Formats: sequence, structure tokens, C-alpha cells
Amino acid sequence: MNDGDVTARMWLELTALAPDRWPAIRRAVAARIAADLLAELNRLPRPASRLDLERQLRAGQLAHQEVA
Amino acid sequence: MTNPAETLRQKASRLLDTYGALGDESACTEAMRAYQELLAEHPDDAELHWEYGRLLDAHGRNSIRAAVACYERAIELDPGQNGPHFNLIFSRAALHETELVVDLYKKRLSTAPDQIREYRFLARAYLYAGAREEAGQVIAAGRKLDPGDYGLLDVEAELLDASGRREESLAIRQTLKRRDPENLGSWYMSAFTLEAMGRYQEAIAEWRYIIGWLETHDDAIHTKWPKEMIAGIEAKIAAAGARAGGTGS
Repeated sequence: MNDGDVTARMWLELTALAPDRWPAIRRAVAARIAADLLAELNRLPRPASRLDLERQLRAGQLAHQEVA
Repeated sequence: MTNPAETLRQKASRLLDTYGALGDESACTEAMRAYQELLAEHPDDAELHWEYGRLLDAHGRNSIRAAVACYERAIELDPGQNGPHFNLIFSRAALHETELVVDLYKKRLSTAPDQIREYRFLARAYLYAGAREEAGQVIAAGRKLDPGDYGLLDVEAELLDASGRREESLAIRQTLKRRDPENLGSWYMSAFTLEAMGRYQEAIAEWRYIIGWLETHDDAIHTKWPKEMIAGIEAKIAAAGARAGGTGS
């Protein structure tokens, strides 16, 4: 059984145990999941900036090769 | 002010320049006519081909930009639709403007964290930005909320394929095919993956399934491209056979 199976089972059990409170629980859990995810994504350099950096590094390497 | 002694070639270059600067569609139409006439007279002129290519490229980009405005308006008018979001992400990627959609869908996710489709959109926005690590993080987070979501599995299969993990991608495609046999998407994607892996006969089998499905559903008009894909793969098989025969002789 993998993480996904465990999560799916947990959700099903929660739905059965607390049908009336389920939407509120789901919203609260979702808010935490999204907040953690966005914090992690914002920690990383933006994809385009990273691409620029890679290009600059590659251009620098090529320039070095030319000089050599 | 145009020069009355201007040659057709000078006129074409001027119109190309004007279109690039102002996006004036009448200049584009006129430039296209001029380049087509010039190319008919000088089919081996590299400079002409280059300039005409730039004109077509600028025109294509402006068309995609107009398409982006249409998708944005469609989303505004009917926020529940998923389709325009995917088109918006594809079109922004074609314009190399992936940052805009990444920012847009991050913002949307922060305001609607319990909507699984927001994870699908953001994952795809990252995937098309070439940011595979982030795409994987978004998929993993979405899976915590909805472990078996079809759309997340679909983008995950694409991510795995892009990462060179093709067997895993094909395994997900098999799951998706079983779950929704009426959605041909996974057959198309499997055909591409199998061809890239050199598993030509299996790729042809996928295309044949697609053709059969389309014919059964009175959609024969869309079988043209799958048939061309089969012809292309068969040409590869024949070329490989000829090389092997040549090596042996």
C-alpha cells in the first residue's frame, strides 16, 4: 500500500465518520496543503530566472572555450 | 511616406519592418503577397526565405496573443470551464510567457486551495515552463487532497515522459485508459512515447486503435493525421531494415 492509497483510505473513513463536518475539514486541510506548497514553490528561483542563469552560465563557458 | 522608385524587394522589407513595429495586419497581408511573389521568382534566395519566415513568425505570435485574449475572456465569462485554462497555459508557453501563468495559477490556488483543478492547472503551467521539479511538487500536493484524480494522473504521465521515465508514464497511461476508455488522450500520448522508445509496432497498434475508434464514432475526418503517423513509423521501420540489410551485405 503506497502513500496515495493510505491518503485515499483516510479520506474515505473521514467522510464516513463525519459526513456533516467533512466539507469544513477538507477545506481546512486543503488550505494547509496549498500554503505549504506555495511556501516551498516561492522558496525556489522562478523558472524563467533559472533559465536565464543557465543561459548565462553556458554563454560564459562558451566564451571561455573561445578564449582557450 | 513610400518611395515611388521602391523595388518589390524594398517594399517587402519595409512592410515586414512596419508589421514588426506596429502589428498592422494590412501591412502583414501586403507583405505576404510581396514575399510570395518574390519567392516565386527567386525560390533559392536564402535572404528572402529568412525574411518571409520572420514575417510568418511575427504573424503567428500575434495570432497566439489574440488567442490568449480570447481564452482570458472565455474564463471571465464562464469561470467553471476547464478547457480555456489549458489552452491559455499552452498559448502562453508558445509565447515563452510561462511566468505569467505560473503566477496566475499560484494566486488562484492560494484563493481556492480545495479546488483540485487548480493543482492541475499549476502543475501544467510549471511543466510547460520546463520546471519539472515544481510540477512534481504540485502533483504530490494535489494528490494529498485527491489521490486518484484523473487530471493529476494525466499531467503526471506527461511529466514522467518529459523526465525520461517512460515506462512509468506508460503504466499511468494504462490506468487512465481503463478508467476512461472514451478519452483518446492516453492513446495518443502512449503512441508518442512508444515511438520515442523505438517500440514501433506497439506505437502503430495505438494509432490503429485510435483510427478504429474514430471510424466507429463517425469521426473519420480526424483519421488523416493518425494514418500519416503510421506511415511515418513504417518509413522508420523500412529505413532501419534497409540499414540492417546494408550492414549485412
